[in-house]
Amino acid sequence: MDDESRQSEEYLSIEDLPEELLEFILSLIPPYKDLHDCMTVSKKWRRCVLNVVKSKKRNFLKAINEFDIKWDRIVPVGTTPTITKRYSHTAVVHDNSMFVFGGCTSAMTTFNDLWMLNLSNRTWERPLAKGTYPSPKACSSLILYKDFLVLFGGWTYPPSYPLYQSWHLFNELHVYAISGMLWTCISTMNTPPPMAGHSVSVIGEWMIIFGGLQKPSTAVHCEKSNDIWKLNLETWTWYKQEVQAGPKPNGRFGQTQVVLDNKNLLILGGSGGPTTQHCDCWILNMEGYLWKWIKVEIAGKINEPTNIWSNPGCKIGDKIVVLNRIRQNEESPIVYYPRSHWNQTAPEDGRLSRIDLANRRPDRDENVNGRRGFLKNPKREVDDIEEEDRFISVPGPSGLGSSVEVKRIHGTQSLNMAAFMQPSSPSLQQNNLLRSIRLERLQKVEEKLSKKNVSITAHKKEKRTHYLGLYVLDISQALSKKPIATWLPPKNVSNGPEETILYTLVEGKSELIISQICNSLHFITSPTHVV
Amino acid sequence: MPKIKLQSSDGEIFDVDVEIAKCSVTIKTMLEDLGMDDEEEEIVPLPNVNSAILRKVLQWATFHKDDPPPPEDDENKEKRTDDISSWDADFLKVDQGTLFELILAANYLDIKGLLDVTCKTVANMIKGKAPEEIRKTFNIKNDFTASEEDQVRKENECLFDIF
Repeated sequence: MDDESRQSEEYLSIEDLPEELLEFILSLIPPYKDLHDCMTVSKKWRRCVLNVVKSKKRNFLKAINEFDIKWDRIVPVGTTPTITKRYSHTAVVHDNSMFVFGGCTSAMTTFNDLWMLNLSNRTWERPLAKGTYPSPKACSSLILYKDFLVLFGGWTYPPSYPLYQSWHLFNELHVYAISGMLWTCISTMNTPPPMAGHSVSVIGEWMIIFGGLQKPSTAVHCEKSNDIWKLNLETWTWYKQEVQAGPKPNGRFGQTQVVLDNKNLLILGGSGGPTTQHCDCWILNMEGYLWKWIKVEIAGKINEPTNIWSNPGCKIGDKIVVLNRIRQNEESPIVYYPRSHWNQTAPEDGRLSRIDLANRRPDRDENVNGRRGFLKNPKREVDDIEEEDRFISVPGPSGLGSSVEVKRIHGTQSLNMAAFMQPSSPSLQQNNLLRSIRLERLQKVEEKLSKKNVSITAHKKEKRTHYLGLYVLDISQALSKKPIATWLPPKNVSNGPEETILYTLVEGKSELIISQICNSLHFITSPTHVV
Repeated sequence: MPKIKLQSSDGEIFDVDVEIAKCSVTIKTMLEDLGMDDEEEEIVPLPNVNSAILRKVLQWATFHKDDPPPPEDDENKEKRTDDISSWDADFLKVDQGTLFELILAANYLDIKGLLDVTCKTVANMIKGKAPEEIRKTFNIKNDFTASEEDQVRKENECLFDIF
């Protein structure tokens, strides 16, 4: 392709292409550093890039409005360095990169590594940072200020020894200099209590923090907070912000917080504990000495997502985009997941693991049920069988009801037999004979159980696969006299990845980037359009 | 299979299967709108395409004639530029002049697949290069004065950041 040296006057050059064709070519360039560089090539190129940028932005907003989005997925391939699987991490976009810090595995192992996703070529890179590293933690907050990343708070699960430690919350503040690749720990005065799951925004030179799980020094347990803290990012001083008396949001964590303008923040959703899912919306007006909370009425509740606390939202134009399980058709649209739904699903999940437990491979230890050891007391066997029974009589879901019944009948039979056995205390040989019969029966029951369970779990899993879809909250009227935010009725259902939570959702250039638990990345863009 | 005659700008006439020629939306609509019958041996003049380029275009169209038609909406159209098939990559190992002629021809003839793949090839030549390298690669004159360039660079940051 390097024919430029041979190029002579008579050949056509890129300069001879009409502008719309140059624009089409430029629209194929990743809209980050590469496209930015194209702006400095010549006046014509600059003009074209600006047009491309404009139309990309317009198309993206339109795509969100119309729910007409395109999902792209990037899965790490081969031996390229890749971020490990995690969730509850935090992410921020800067220039050509998305920075990801910390998070934890599903086994609660927390990380303190910092990764950079090159948004032009979609590859991961781990900067070799120097300085004072932050502690490994999840649910911390990361923001961009000038050329710095500011990391605050988070939690970690302590190591298993010594036992009975509770989880640990942080109030440490770290700054990462992007160009210098240097972590610095900042010691501050009047520091807020340790916290995690708080929400954070930058306005001017202020970092504003709301809510989160906090552990004040005086308290034994974590509390859901509705406090507001602000940090001056130039002087590194903390202030606790007081608000006017009046209604204010309940304490919560995991909420979405977006900047509306220099004077107003918006809070959406969050969790107030295991049984309290908030789906309310508040404006924080930051004018004057005392700030003020204003409740925003929510319209279009029928289109509301299931949960807004473990699914972060992102502001795109005058909309907030939240990903959530796509609603199934068979579900009545009027039932928008009240609490009873949670109660219904929660034990089900718990039970699945129980079934897994019952479904584990039978213990093949030789000594089980006295296959070895002739002196085994029949009483023990009763215990064993009872234990078996305990497994099966786990209260079942409505769908499982019948099979559970069957299991219990079998269980009682063997139990009866064992009980019947006990008083007779027969000779050794008789005992052996009976034992083998019992074992046979038990084995049969076991087989039946495992078969049933396999089919049940398979069935369950199949039925329970949900996909992420787009939910859009129109906040264009959130600052009006009568503040109102509206969940828009979905126009198209476009299946995203399988349902997941505790990922990050950040806005790139005309795209949304979802970095997910299974270290795959998803991008939401507008469908491409041709000249 | 019915044939059609295409005439390039320099007067050369190409005998082409109608089906292949119809991958060009321009020719297809021309045939439909003008009611040109398949049986009639009419000559379609293509005043914007010379014989060398038309030959290349037809070569591409012949190879891709059995491709599934591009989806109506662009929903599934990949924006990636690294998915050029190896045949296309070989086919496009040409000098820049030819490449841009092909882009113009694909645009004029309205052959979406060819336009996509040629523009992707150019995009790949642009990607990862500094502005000066881009100018050198494509022989573009820098029409910013030194003072303008500084000014513009600052403005660019702002304009791009808003996006």
